[in-house]
Amino acid sequence: MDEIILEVKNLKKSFRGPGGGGKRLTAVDGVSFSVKRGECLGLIGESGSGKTTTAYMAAGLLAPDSGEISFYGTHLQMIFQDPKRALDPRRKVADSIGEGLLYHRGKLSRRQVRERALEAMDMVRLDRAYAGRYGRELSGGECQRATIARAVMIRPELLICDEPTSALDVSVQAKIIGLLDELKHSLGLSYLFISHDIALVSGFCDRVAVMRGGRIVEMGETADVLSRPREEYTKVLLDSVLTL
Amino acid sequence: MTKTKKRAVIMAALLAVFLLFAVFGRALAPNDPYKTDLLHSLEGPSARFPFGTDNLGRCILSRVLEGASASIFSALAVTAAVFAFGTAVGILAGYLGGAADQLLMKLTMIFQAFPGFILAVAVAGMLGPGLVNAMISLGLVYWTTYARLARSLVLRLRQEPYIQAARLCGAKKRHILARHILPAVLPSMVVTAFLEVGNVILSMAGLSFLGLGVQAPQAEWGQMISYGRSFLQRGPWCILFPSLALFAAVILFNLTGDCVRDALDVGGGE
Repeated sequence: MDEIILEVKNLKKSFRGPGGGGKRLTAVDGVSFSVKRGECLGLIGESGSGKTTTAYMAAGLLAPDSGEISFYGTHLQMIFQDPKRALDPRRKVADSIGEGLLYHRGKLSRRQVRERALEAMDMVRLDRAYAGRYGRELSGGECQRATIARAVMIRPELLICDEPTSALDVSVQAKIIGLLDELKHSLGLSYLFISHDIALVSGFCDRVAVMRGGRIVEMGETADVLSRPREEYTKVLLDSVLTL
Repeated sequence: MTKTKKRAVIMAALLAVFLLFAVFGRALAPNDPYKTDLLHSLEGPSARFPFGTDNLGRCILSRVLEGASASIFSALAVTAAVFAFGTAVGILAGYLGGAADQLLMKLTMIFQAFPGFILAVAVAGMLGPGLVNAMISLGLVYWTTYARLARSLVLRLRQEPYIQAARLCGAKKRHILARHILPAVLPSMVVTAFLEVGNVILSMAGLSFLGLGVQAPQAEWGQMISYGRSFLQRGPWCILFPSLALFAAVILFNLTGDCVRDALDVGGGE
């Protein structure tokens, strides 16, 4: 449990400000954390706090301005916020799922990749009848199941989830979280789980890090942070949920 | 059959007929389009010369049919070439980004800095009159449209989560281009090409009208219109029929372009 799978040190990233002026906006300002094997680390904070930028950098999709990212596994995958846009609208669902293995298929034929895609659909409990459909014909929850199937095709050690349920209905959210939790145990996945929803994180994550203004302001065991928040900001964040 | 489909079928059929005329123009011509016959100079439409004759007694109908291939196929060839070149440049610029993007877009801007037709006239003037030179000059003007459109489409696509997901799946740039970007970009590009053919036909006729395109005695609509101006009073048919042919061609391609756009919007929905 103490073996580290992902380590991030002093990550910084700024973007050019609106209008192309000289002023740069700092999105992530010195973030450090690590994810242990089999662990789920939650990254919470309000929108604009730099969570998604951090996730993209950790996934290697965005180059940091400075800092270090060390991934000690072979494969990591990511689940995106908007499941509909995470599937190519011109490709059939099974085809999109198959892409998860397509470029690493070795000696597997395309037909075998497709067979694996169908098996992955079973694993995420997406009806095989959807294999020949397009993303737009599926509901948001079904699309998200498809992207999860694509992500686990290659058997990654780490799954980075960028608000995987915030575009979904509340009833569907719980099912997706249930699925992710199930895969955590059956596939031995570790998670970096980005969310603004503290209630969601509390049930799913072992540890949480609270982000604000591009920095991590508090990090610790989920139960500790949520029951005895040390930072003023974490309290505000918690209160905002309770008053809803 | 839906209304859109019905319209598309009708337009496609009309266009096919038109293209057949262009292909078999010479065989369908009732008279030799180049045979001068001063005994029948500037005759009005008759059974023998349905569109009348010009001052040298050449059959206008035969010349319109003969000229169709020069007018239409040169424009189609130019459109095909700029479509391929412009789309390739735009996609590369948009997808590679950075220095390559800067360089390619600066190049596009240089060409766009001049009013299109003026640039074509200048280039055709420098290269010297002739059909091939006119095509080259029009190509230089029209490719930028495709480059800019393709680039903007790619820039928007690049941020899509499914492209990011493909990167995480280990897709190389060429995989992403072939598998995700090209299929997304092509429909819009094809529609643009269809809608632009009419413009190219007009510009081609314009260059010929100015004496920079097809040269006499070869029959071509723009050149015929230019030539017929001298006899506007005595033989208006010299100008009327090639103009009508040009008008019909442009309208037909534009309407077909509309149909293609509707059809692709319906079929390829996002």
